[in-house]
Amino acid sequence: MGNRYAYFQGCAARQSCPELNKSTLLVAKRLGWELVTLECGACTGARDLIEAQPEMAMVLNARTLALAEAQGLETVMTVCSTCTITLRQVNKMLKENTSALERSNQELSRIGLRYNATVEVRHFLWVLIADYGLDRLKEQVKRPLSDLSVAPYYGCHILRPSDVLGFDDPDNPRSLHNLITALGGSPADFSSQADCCGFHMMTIDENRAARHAGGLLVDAQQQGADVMVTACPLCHISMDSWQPKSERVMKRKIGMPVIHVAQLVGLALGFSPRELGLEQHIIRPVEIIANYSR
Amino acid sequence: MWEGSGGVEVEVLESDVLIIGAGGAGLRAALEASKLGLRVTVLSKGPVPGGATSVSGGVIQAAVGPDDSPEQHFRDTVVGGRFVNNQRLVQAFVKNAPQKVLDLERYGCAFDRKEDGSLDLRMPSGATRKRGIEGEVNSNVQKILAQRALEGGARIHEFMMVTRLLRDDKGRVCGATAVNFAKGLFVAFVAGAVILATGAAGRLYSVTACPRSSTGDGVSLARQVNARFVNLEMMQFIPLAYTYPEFIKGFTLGEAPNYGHHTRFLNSKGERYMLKYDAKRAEYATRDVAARAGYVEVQEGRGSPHGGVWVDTSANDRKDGLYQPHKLADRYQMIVDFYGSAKANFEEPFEATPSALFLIGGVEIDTECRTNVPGLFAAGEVAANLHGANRLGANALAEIQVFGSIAGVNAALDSRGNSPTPSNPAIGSQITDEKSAVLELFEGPRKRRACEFKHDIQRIMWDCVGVVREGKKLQTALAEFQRLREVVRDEVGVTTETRRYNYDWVEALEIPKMLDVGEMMAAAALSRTESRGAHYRTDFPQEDDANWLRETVVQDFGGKLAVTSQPVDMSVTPIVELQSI
Amino acid sequence: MQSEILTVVVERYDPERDKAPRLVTYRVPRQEGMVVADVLLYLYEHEVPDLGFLWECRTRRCGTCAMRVNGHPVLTCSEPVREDMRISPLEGLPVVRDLIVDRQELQERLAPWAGETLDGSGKDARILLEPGEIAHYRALSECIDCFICDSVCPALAENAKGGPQFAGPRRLIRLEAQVQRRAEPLPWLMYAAQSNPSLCTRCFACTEECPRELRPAEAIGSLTKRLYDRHELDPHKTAHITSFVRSILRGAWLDEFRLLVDIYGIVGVAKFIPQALRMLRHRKLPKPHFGKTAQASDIQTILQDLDNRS
Repeated sequence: MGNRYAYFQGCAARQSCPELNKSTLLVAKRLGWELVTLECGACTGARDLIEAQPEMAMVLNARTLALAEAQGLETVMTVCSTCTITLRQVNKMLKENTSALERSNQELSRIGLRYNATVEVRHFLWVLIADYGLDRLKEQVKRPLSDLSVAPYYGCHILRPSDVLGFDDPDNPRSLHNLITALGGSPADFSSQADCCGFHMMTIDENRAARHAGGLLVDAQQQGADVMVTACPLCHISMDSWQPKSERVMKRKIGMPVIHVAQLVGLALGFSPRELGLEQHIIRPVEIIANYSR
Repeated sequence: MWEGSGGVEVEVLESDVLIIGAGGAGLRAALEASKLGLRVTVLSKGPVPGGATSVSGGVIQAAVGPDDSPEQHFRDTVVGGRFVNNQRLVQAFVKNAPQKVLDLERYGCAFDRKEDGSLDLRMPSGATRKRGIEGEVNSNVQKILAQRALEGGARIHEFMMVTRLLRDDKGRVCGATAVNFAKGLFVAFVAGAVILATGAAGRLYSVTACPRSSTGDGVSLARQVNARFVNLEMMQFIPLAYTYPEFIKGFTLGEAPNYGHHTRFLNSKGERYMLKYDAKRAEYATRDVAARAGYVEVQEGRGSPHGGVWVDTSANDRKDGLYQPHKLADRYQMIVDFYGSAKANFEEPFEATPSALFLIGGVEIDTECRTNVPGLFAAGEVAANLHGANRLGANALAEIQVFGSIAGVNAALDSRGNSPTPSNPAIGSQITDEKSAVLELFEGPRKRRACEFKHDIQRIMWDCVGVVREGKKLQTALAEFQRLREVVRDEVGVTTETRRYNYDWVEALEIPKMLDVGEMMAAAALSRTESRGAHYRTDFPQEDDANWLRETVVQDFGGKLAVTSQPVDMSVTPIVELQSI
Repeated sequence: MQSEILTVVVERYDPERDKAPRLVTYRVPRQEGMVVADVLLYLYEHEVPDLGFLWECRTRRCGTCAMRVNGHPVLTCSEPVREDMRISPLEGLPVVRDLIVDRQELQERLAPWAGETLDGSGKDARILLEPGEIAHYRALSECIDCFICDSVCPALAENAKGGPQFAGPRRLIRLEAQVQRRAEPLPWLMYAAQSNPSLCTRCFACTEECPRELRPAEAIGSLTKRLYDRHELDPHKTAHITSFVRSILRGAWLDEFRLLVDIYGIVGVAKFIPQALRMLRHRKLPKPHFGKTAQASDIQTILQDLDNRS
């Protein structure tokens, strides 16, 4: 185990959610993790590739896993729920289906790689809770999030299907709740906290997706949340970058800031909102910026 | 909408062929009749899929193997039936089975086939050749048949409890009345011909694998129009079923061979009691012997805590491959959770009881599925007499395909030229009367619950018309049913107002039918003064070929049962030849 | 410690009589191995003659007994009881009465295409299937129409607010089964296209909740691939997939900027200008030609081969 992880950044964390990558690196360093960035990794292909070109998706992701394995790394750490589900789905297939592993290795041998199916794929949140530990994290907290009511938004791909993900119970997920509590905040339970944000529908029917995402934000707001935390940059795009669209479609002001897990942790560890890229958000987390900048 | 006398409004739906029952037989019939371009209506009491077809074992028999023949299938069926099968029916069955069963593949069933493409055949219990085809032949088959029937234009209505068959002034069956209890409406159907495919009657008994709807309604419906019934005393019990808890009680645990070659049955004293009942074959005796033995042990006070016997498989070779009946029921984890892993995997002795499975006797049909009543056809479990005194495993699923198909075609042909209408006063008054009777259950001072009486009937059937019979007890049953008829008539009503999905109302409609059926089964059992196959009497424990190579015949005349018998059709192969096998 | 008496709260509602659902508390003696269906049957027989619930087979085949227990959709015939249960009908479906929801007429539920006389109706199915195909096809056909997947589907819930209608996971998994078995599957595939499979958000709630573990979400993925391969998938989703594939073939990472252009076209993407400007101000705008991976060329050949083969 140790604290050395292959860091799979994915695509969104470096393009439309650069603050996610930024804050992840800051937090990991502070907590003493060694992140080995998989520069030559590749996009997981999200759901599109694995559905439309399953063989390609398998080989592509087998390569990413093989690259990590070749560097002696046991865990590929993700920061995006869709990366997590896709990499885990392929990894599960490679571990359980000898033909899939053989076919993948046949292709990988062309570039001098081989995957022995020893790697685990885990989200940053899981690594934080299971490896680092919330008790230990509590000790690192410099600035407890005491007046913050945080809506724990899980979304789908970090929970379902549970035979692929398996860290949290999809019916009663607790990981974000427990994290928020450990950081000194209050989790604002809301009934749609494990519902889909609609991101993958965004380019199919924008209004529908916007309405959907807006509904979640309003639900959280009605439970008194000051801010929503999400484990996935795609959910973040859906609910932060496109929140103005949701407001237009629903004809109502929402104004609910949405932040990443790493940013939430970063705030409690003492990093400034600016360092964590909070000022880049479309819905400006005004109060957090006001209260947590010194 | 038809308006009868006195302003009675009833929706009347017309078709060419009306099919009562949407199990494998009813749906196959619908498929065939609709292929001929006729208007077909199917009425299902419960949901589709549902009924006994949906919970059946999943193996279907037909002589398709290279080393097999319809003749061999014929022999197995008649030998298994203890020689009182209607041989012409058996012949029609075995000759048609291969085609009618393989048709299912063309409709969309994926049978188990080997790598080389040939069918992967099993040996059904009681058969002498491998001719059991497996692969989604129960609830999937219902869906596949229903889809094809719907594509052919058939209409299928769920939650329709048929209350009565209609007859025109010439006595021809021409429709039925029903309660659409999903919507709470009384409706009537008229048709050129009617097929009865109402299936099982397991719910007449306290312990059964049959679903909720299997109360044998069709037997009562046909009784009311003076149909003839043969061998109604024959009811098949599987020897081993779960005893408890409720969620699994009555579901099959198969028989001794399923667990290996050294399965032992023990009573509460730890004795291998089967040696008393069949010294030679012991636990490997036929199903009826095994069922009976278990039943008697329990009756005589040597049963297990939950009213069964102990099945001990510890002497079997584990490598034989463990039988997993609970996986059929798709509830393996629940069973492990409840029983613990050892018992759930049959590594420790487990309790088992006989369970009511299959109505072997039924409405008499000829090889074209006609009954003695013009306009009325019958197919599937409700019809007889294919199986004689004992049904072979996997024959039932084949029976419903063969006779469902035959009935569909023949009813379709028969329906031509018959277009009954409710304006015919004979028909109209039946509809009006039935509507009053059915709605009347909501009126008046009668307030006892039907479910109470359902349990009474089930207890009486289990104790007196069950695995082991005896003259006096059968007479007690008949007397009880007589008494209950009056009590039910005077006291059972529906206390609540809602009409939609009111199962209290449905059960109030079921009870008189269950009494009809129970009475006929008890009367038939009383008349057969011998033991044969599934029918065992302590007062007549021997098989009596000299007197009883016959079918019992029961028929209702004006509310009274006439019970007679007739020689079995043995026109295909002399019994003597078959007995020498 | 198990109690002798179970407290059960049941949501009762008769739209013909009640203004709104009401919660009624009952007490039921506990039996060993009791399942929730046993509780309902007990109430029906002893206390509540008009309790509206369905049951038939008791063995997870008929699909009629699905409802929520403590908010979670289950088949009550095989759901063990626990202390303090709250029983309510499936979410998101019209309630007929108490715990019974509208399961549609049989034709609509089982063979919705029957009314349209699809051009392959009446024709045979494929007989010889590969061994792997058989197991998979049977799994898909095992759908019992319990409606649990539909009841947890967020895309189906959005239908009520108008716009294109999503047919739901239950309909789509049935269509995938038809496509697999029909000798001429095209009519069913086109029927599936009209069911708007691209409106599925890929949230996997259906796969998670299916009591028979049939994986409807994966079936939707499979239908998507079939339509995509035949160029019959809706334009937006097609562009989305194609853009993804191209991006990866080009540079192994997804080019978000390019994705939008591919989907909406140079002209169409103009409507995003205000948003793009905002993103630019916030330094969140994806850069055109997002960097190729350091060793992109190694995988590119392989991916191109796989693309050519498919």
